[in-house]
Amino acid sequence: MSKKELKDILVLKHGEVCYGIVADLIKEIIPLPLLTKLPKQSEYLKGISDYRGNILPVLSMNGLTGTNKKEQTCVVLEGEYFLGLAVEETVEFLTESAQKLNYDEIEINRGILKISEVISTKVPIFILDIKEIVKNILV
Amino acid sequence: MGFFDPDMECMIEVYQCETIELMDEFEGHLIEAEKSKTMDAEAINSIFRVAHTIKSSSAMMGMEQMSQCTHRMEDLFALFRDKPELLQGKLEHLFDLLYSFEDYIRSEIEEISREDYEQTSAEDLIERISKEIDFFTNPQLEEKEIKKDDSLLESSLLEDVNEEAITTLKVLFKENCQMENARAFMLIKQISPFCQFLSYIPENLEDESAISVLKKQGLLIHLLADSLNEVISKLIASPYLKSVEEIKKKEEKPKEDGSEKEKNSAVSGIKETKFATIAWEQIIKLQKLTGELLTAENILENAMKKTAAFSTIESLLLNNKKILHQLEDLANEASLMSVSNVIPQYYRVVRDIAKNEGKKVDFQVVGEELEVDRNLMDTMANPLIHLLRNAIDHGIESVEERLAEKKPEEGKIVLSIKSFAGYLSFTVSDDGSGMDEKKLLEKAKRKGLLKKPENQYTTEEIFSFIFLPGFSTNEEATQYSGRGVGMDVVQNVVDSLNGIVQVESQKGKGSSFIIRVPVSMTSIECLCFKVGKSICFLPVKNIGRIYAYEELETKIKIVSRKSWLEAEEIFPLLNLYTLFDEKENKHKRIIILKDGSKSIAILTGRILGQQTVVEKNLPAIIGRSYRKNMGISGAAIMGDGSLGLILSSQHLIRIAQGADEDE
Repeated sequence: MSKKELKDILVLKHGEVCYGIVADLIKEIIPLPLLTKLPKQSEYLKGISDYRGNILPVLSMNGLTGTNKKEQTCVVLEGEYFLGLAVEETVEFLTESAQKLNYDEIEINRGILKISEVISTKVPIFILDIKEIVKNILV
Repeated sequence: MGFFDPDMECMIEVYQCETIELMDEFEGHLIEAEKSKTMDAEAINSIFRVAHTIKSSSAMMGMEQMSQCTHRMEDLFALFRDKPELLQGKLEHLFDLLYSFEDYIRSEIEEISREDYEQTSAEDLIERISKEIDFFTNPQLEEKEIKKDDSLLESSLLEDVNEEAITTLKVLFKENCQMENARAFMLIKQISPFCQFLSYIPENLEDESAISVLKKQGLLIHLLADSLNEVISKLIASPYLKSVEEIKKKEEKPKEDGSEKEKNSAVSGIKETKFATIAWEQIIKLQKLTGELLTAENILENAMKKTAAFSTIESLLLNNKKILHQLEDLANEASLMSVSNVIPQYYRVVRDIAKNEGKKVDFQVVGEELEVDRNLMDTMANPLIHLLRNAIDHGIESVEERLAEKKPEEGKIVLSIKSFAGYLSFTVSDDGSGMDEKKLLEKAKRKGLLKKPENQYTTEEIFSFIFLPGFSTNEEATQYSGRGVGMDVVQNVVDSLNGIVQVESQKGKGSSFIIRVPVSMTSIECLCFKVGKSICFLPVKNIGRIYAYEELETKIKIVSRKSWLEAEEIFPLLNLYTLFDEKENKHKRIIILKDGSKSIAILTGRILGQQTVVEKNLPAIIGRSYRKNMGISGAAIMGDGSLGLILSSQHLIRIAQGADEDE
């Protein structure tokens, strides 16, 4: 993402931190579905689930960020990356115009996350780069 | 604006579809003719018709180049049709022209879907064809051709045929036969390869109205065949036939001139109907929906079991299930196509490469009569073509080398397709130089691919090097192969189909590549068991026997934790608890797993029963290597919404054997 590409984002809260996912990618937000664990599954994966007849892999925000919160919501992504992301809760939907990004891109932690700070929410929002995440956890 | 008028655009698809079909027919005749080195009257007629039809439709579409070019081809074949003897001994040098003609038409047809389509000039081609016409013709013939024009097409078909020699057969169907028209259609299709001339009444077999005529009068077939007995025995062997009798008097001679063309095109155009492409998409949807329905049914049944009313509705559910399975069978059947439909492409590839390389190749296909899933066949096309290329490029030696080795001048390549117990195998074998283990090993060493001491590599492991990306034994890349890309692509496609590739090769004798892939089914009958917390499925067809572990533990049948003895036979033992990293508990079972000639024993938990499941692919994010290493081929949605893991016996066997070798 570059500065020019401002997009609507969904803000999630996981622990004390706010994360953002580009809204274009989101299909829907559902309560955490019944999950089946795969044997020897990676720590990033919470399990797989039946999502309308397809197998949905659900990633764990705990696994990705090294936290241990109660994950109860699942954000289902579609398009290039059909996957679910299990998070503590979703907070709000931030439209493009509502964001005044003081864009400050820093790469942290396993190259998974990219940061930008949103002044209006007073706390920084870490925008998730799904592509980067998938690239890093692909078994 | 595009090349076509807006009101023409709706026609493009039909035009493409029709032309491709015609070119398939054209190609079929070419391959046949090149193989047999002669072209019979039927083939000449057919090619003439193809050219004629494409000429007209192209003119209608405003594609002058195509139209002119096919017109010349039509002229050329009109010559041969009138004087087949012209072709004698001259056929050979025509093929290149005919194949370039085909390439031109096909590429144009592909191009026209593009928005910025412009006609490609066919001047060269037209000139080449004209040269041939000059070569074969005397000037009067050409003139006559123009005058005769279309009417000639209809009347000509009978010209070459001696009417006296035509036999008329009357075929009656049994009373309980359904779909007489389709049966009749199949009959005609079956016997058409044996007949030089063939027509039948009623003509409109595709139409259901033909049924009543067939019921009343039966099917009248006029034919000219070398071996009438063969044709009749073919007919008699078909199901639902009441009688086949020969009518001596020609009372029912087909005289309606105008219909001749239609009838004949029906015979040769049987391969595929015009709308197969559209129907195909619908078939996939149908298959998918059937799968969904089966899953929904399972869930419903499980939910119902918990209610008091279950006993009363059980029979209703059963009925539902029966219908569902019929639907599933139908959907699966509809997705099948005959292997013979795609074989011409392979002939063409082999021919082109062999010609390019200056090698002589006799290419044979075994299993053309098989019906396989169309999707699977499409997916397999690239790997197979690659293997064929390799066989010609690396396998078959040059003519000089072959003669020096005292081998026949012509190299032999066989593509054999076989079906057995839920699997399809594709084998590409050649009688070429085979692979040199030493060379492969050296090369692997140079590339730093060796992971253990050189002398510990088995033949199989050495051959498996060729599947690694970037590995190629040919020092110089040729046009078609040898760049080291390819074999790993073959491996990838086969992996994605949950199949395996095997290599057999003997230096100097030739190589065989064997690909085995499971036939995709909408639902699989599976044995359901637990391993720790995971619920697993294994296809019933792979299950040999099941033993209780505790019972047998005392009988010293388990030689070690690594192998298992049954009736003096030792099987490798694969412990699924270890594989899945679960703790072993009570109720352990040992299942003998069979897959082809190989068997292993697996240690599992409690058996839960038998269930029909619909296999779903695991998402791509769960990597292929994970699936391979865990022996998991997919997942199934269970009644309660949780998921079960479908295991692949092929992969499990591979894991068990791999574990053996490590010891």
